[in-house]
Amino acid sequence: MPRFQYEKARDFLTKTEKESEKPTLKAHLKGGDLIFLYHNWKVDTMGGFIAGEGQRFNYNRRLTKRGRLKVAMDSVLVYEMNKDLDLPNGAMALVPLAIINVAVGIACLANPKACFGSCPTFYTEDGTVFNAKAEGFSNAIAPSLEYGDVDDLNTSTRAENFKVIMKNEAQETHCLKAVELWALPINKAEKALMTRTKMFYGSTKQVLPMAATVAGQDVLSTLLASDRKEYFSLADPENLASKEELILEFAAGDLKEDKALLLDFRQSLMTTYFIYSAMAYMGDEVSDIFAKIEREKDLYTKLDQGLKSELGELEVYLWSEEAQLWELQGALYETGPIAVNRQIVPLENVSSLLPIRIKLRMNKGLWRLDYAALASLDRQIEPIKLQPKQLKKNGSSHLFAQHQLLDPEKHLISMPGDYFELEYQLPDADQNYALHLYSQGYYMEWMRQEWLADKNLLKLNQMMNHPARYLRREAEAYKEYEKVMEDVFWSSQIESKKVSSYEN
Amino acid sequence: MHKKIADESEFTQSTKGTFIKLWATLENDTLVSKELQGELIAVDSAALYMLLIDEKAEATCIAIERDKVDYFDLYYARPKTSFWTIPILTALTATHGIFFLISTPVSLLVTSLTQAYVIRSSYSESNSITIDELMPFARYPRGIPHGLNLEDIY
Repeated sequence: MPRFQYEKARDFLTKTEKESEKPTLKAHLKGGDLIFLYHNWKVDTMGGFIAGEGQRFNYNRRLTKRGRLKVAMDSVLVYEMNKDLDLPNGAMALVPLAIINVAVGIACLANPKACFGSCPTFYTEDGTVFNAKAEGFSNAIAPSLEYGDVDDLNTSTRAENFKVIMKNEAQETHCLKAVELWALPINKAEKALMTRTKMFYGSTKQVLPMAATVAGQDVLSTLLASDRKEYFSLADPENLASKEELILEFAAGDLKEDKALLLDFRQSLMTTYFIYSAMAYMGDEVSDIFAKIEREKDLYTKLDQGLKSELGELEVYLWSEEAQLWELQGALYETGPIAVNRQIVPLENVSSLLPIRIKLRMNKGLWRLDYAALASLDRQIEPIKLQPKQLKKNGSSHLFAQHQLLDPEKHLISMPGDYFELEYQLPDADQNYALHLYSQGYYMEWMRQEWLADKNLLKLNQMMNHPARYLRREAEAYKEYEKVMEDVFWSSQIESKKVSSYEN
Repeated sequence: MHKKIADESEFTQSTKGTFIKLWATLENDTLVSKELQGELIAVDSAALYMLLIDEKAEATCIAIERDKVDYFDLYYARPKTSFWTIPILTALTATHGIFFLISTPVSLLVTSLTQAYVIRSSYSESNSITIDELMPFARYPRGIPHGLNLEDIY
């Protein structure tokens, strides 16, 4: 209660005697008048009066006297002393939000490459913007580069129908040739796991690593569950192509069958940065250069493979006790920083008597690893490939769009902000299916006004023809905003409670 | 309505009663609550007295029996709202690139809820304050002074 009233003067005198400046005092008189005394009032308990500079108001609060006032205490009904109100201020309370808004805005305007997603993103109905289940054909940035991409939706269903939501959340034009649901019939407690070459295996057992280290540092806790608590490192400030090694150890004899390394992974924003940097270097010649890419496949190969060969893939090695060396088992590669990929690398010549040691060799600052396990490979499974039986665009059934998607000669065009619901009918409602998503197409990145200022054909040439040198020279520029870019990206994901671990 | 309420800085200096908005069932044969607003004049064991503030009519002091009061809101001071922050801060998220999908609804929600909170902090409802507890906020905290008629109060 912000109002304090006292029947007797002694009740407030003890409270105010230590205060250097007395609060204003109101005295409500028996007849309805009000005495208002400023800070210099005095109470004379012996004389039975209060006195001080102030104002006197009648019962209708008309001012009747101003100046030195003296009132007999026995005419006072109640004394009042009020605290200042401290109501919240609607503008001041929003200062933190305004600071965050402006900071994110500045960060995005300064580093637009960090704030604009890429490729069509796919969600299941429980998904949110930061819980995408798949990103389609991230490398297909021109018509001639169209390809098909399969992503594990990490979901199984026994329902008759299954809905996939496809969004265009970036400043891009998406051209989709196909979006198929690949249903893999699985038994109870079985998972369907996919290799990079799109071979599918049923797996009933998974074994977690007992140790995981990077340069002697324990990172095991980040890899024990598929929970977005990821292991990732920051790029080398001297050379963006520097590599690191993560060593996984598994106990001996846990799995007798054929086995594979199962990995949940995705990329950092590094490749997005390179794609957008390349476009920025093209400047106002971007359309000419892309037209040239269409005519000369060699140009794109240089643009893509040059850097990619330097950055490398996520290589998986198995330690051979017999040969006393690391033997390459395979490699994983998926472009895209949003959706987590789940893939396996089958392991050959694994001893069931000795602990299993696996080495992941990868580019620093390029990969995020969420989960690692050894998985049994029980049987091979063939996917049932399903076309959407119904398509809704922005909330309404859209037969034209559906025909475009189903016609192998045509593309479904998706513009920024478009939202598609694709419904698939599963063949047997009594069967449990693990679901993967196949998407085929390409996308056209929109040029941004702010990129035009970064035109630098010399750098583009260096990126394509001398990628090793480019990655060394670009390191300083990349590091300058890597942390900002990561902060912007991750701070926007607080709602989904994602935590990442840094190695620095 | 907020224009009729004193500014926060006037709270300690105010010589009048606090602004109150009240719903009362004044007619015996109806269940319809009537909304009244004005200055809280006094509270005693039988009734609550308020000076009705109506821009179209002369201020009138009335007594409302306690058992006819359905509920009330006591406004301490005019809330310091800044509704302009809702469109401005929300519009700022247009610069957030892909993150606008999160930041726009968050901004809209936070700014709207903040303004709602600011308004809500400026008054007490009848479910958090009793009629007896209204007494210190009345122009006459110990009831209508002896010998004073309601029609003399304005």
